[in-house]
Amino acid sequence: MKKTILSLFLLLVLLAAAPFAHADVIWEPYTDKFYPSHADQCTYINRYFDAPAEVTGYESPENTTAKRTFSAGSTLFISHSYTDGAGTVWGVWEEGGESCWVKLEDLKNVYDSRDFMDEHRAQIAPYNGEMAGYAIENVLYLWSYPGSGVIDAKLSSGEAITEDAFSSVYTAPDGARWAYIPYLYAMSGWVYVDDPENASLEPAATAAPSPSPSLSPSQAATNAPTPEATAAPVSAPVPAKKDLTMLYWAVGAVVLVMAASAVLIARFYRKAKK
Amino acid sequence: MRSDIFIILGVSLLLTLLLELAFSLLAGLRGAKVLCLVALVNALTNPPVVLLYTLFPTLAAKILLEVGAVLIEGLIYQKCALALKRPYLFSLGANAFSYFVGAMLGRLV
Repeated sequence: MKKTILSLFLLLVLLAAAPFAHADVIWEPYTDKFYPSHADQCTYINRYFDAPAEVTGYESPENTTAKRTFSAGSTLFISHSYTDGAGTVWGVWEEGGESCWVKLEDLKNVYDSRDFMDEHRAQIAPYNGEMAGYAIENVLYLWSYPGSGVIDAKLSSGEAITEDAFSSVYTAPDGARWAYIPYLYAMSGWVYVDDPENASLEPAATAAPSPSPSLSPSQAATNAPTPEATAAPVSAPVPAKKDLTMLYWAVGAVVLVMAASAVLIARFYRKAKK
Repeated sequence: MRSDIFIILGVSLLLTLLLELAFSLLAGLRGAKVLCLVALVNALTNPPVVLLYTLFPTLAAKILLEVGAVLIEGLIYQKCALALKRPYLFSLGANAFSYFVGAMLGRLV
């Protein structure tokens, strides 16, 4: 009887869980009330936007109760977008347990690596050994995009880097080359091939084309990131301004818990063998 | 890396432990030792799965991680909980239960 009930129960659970293709609990602490029930209608966009003027954040696309205000000049990270019945594209902002929805038409997307890649596809080729033999001597700088003048991340000499980290190379009109790292130690960015450890690169020095926003916020919202262009994971909305310390602590804590569990499980195993 | 990663890890583990222990009881498992084993097995697999998914939040990674967790948990149950007749089925059921109920709770909260 117990076995029959258990089997039926398992079958029901598996059938019900099938669309999710999941097991185990992975907590996604979206404090937002709207997103969880509309997740399948949302598009992951994972990018920064600027507020050219004061922007209002609302309860949800279906509840325009004002929740907070972003001052002009604020930079918002929008993880997902939602298009309502009227065709208005909304983006969800979440930080420190607080969330709200903003109209993307009120924002201006921040030109980033993804835009750069879209604009310069003809000058970007698969990585072909341009960084072969390179090892970090002091600090390797990862730039937001070629010619941005903005350093997004750094790797120190203690961190290993192999050619597998590089996916493509951009060649500027003057021959300057930039190699792209899509994901390494939860960071991404462009490396200036000819002088990768120079932190003083000015936009003019690299002769990269001047950036200009190529997408309206609504266009940006409908452009789901490609594997090549994606800078950061869904559940880690900080593309490249990283604090590796947090990652190291998290890994350390996980390893500690795993080690303690493994030791105790080993005792069970020894007892079971007897 | 998210600043609330430790909250994510902690809540995920706590919820997983509660749900999988509940499933174990529903499945008829009794005894402090076997329930303790269930808790330890989940303490072993849940944190790395959650951390790795946080770093690589793609569907493919999620499926890979979860399948790996089910297999590892099943193997441990097979080696350590000799009274458990179908360890891999139990592992699959427990993980499916914890995810499904966890997802439902997430939508209700």
